[in-house]
Amino acid sequence: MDITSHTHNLDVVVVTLTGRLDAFEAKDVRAMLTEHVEAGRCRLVIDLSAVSFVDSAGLAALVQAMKRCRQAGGDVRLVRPGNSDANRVFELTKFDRVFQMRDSATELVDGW
Amino acid sequence: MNELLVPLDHESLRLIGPWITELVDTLDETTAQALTSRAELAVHELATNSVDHSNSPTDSLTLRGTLDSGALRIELSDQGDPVDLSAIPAPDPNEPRVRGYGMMIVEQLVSTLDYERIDERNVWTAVFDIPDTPPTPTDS
Repeated sequence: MDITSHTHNLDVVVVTLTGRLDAFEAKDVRAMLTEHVEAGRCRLVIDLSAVSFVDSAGLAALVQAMKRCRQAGGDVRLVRPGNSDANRVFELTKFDRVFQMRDSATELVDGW
Repeated sequence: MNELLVPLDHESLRLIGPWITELVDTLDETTAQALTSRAELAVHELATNSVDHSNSPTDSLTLRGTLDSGALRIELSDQGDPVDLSAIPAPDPNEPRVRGYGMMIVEQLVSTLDYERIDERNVWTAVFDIPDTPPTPTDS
């Protein structure tokens, strides 16, 4: 999985993930998100548009970051996976109603 | 019967998707893709539980698959401790949790799911019904 981060105005960090967000990758993703949260960067947009597969462990990494960010007054917002298979986990667990999800990072950053 | 032996580590679970793709390759493309994506996620979640609850790094997970005209049937067996189904909590939709969604996902993807303890192995059998293919329009 490729992971890139960059900071926009308003201290919003956009993290772009590419590939599979599964149990094998979840540990690295969780560590990277924890680093942002512990550095006080709690407005996170995670771009999943190029993610091909998400499992419950990948979802857990996102949920953990979202809970910690909300406790700190921020949030984790998601760009929807372009692949419907990757979006399925959010629908089945109803986390598509818990996360704010949009089709582009720009929409989420501008709407913050 | 098609069989796959998977080492019990998270990276090796990536063998499951391609194996299922091969299992269903006699179906038409649209049906095969829909069935593969549904089965891959469900089997991957069950297999992740096997990895997470494995007792030994040398253990492995055995998958057996069959496809007939009506369903894809996949059996997973491992040497882990017995599974207490009553101890798996159902997530509360009003209180999002970090973990514990694996079985909830599986149950929504399978047509049927059975668990048995056989010869000190956990054996899960997941069945995925194949939706009827709409008839091809004919010129009449």
